[in-house]
Amino acid sequence: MNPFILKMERRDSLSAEERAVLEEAVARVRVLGPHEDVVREGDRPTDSTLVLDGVTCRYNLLGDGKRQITAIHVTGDFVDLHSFPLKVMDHGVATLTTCRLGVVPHARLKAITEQFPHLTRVLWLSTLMDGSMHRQWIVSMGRMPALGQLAHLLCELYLRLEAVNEASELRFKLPLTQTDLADTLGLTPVHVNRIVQELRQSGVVVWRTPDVQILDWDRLVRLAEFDPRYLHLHHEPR
Amino acid sequence: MNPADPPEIALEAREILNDGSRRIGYLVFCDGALAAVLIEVTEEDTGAIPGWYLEAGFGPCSSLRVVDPPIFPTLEDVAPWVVAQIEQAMN
Repeated sequence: MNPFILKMERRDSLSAEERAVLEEAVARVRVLGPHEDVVREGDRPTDSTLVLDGVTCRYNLLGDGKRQITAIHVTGDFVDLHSFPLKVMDHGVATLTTCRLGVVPHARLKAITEQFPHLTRVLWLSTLMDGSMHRQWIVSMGRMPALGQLAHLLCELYLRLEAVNEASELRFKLPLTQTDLADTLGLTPVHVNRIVQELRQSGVVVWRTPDVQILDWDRLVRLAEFDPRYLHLHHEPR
Repeated sequence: MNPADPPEIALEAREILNDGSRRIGYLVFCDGALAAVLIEVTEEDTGAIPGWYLEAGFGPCSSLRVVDPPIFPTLEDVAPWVVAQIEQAMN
């Protein structure tokens, strides 16, 4: 099954017809290796991309080649649904791991928005959830100590992966390099290394890249001041 | 002092607290005023080269001006960087 269906069915019921429409929306599957561009800033794509399996990121490049990762997208995320109405990409999307990507032509998205009002709201919800995560990341990166920022990212990714059956029993895979983490949290690799060590040494996590095991969820949540409301994991009619 | 004179950069070794341990570090002075604190980092810390990491900076060397704190491969690389920061701040 298309994991986007799994992700959205956590939040709302889909009819058999709506599920079939989402399955058929994927025209083909693209496989990319790690650290490859899916779309670049300035591109004018005619397809949107759904992550069937793997980890991708949205990023912006600065003049001196520095990179800020502004979102991490995992299995079930519709990474550039935005490009359908926005037309021109204002950021890039790249793979962080080997990825299987579902290619969804904008023509099919247009047909969905014209024929299936509830499914259109579900797609809208998906981009609103992306927005709520961006807001939370701004709060976290703007006002939390580095240790709290990383703790927050771990809490978030665990719950997002669990929602698409990619994590359970407080274990998950985080196949990001320390440079990826530094570019995500706006920290230097030196500081990322230090806070990873601190989380390990204080017995909160066991972390052998890519395997992360959370030993003390409550403590991680306290460090992160984590409140999962912004992930909108509850099920109700939208 | 003539304003055209380059500032005098001096380094003073100190132990610095670093998450449960102590490390060698340097206080960097610019004409006697504290400009930066460096801490020794290993290859494991940086994921790349070892050296001296700008742990804290003040004035032209502060995080308000330096987004990516540099890692200096050797202590000889510190003074030219501090001077460049001061010159950049004046321009």
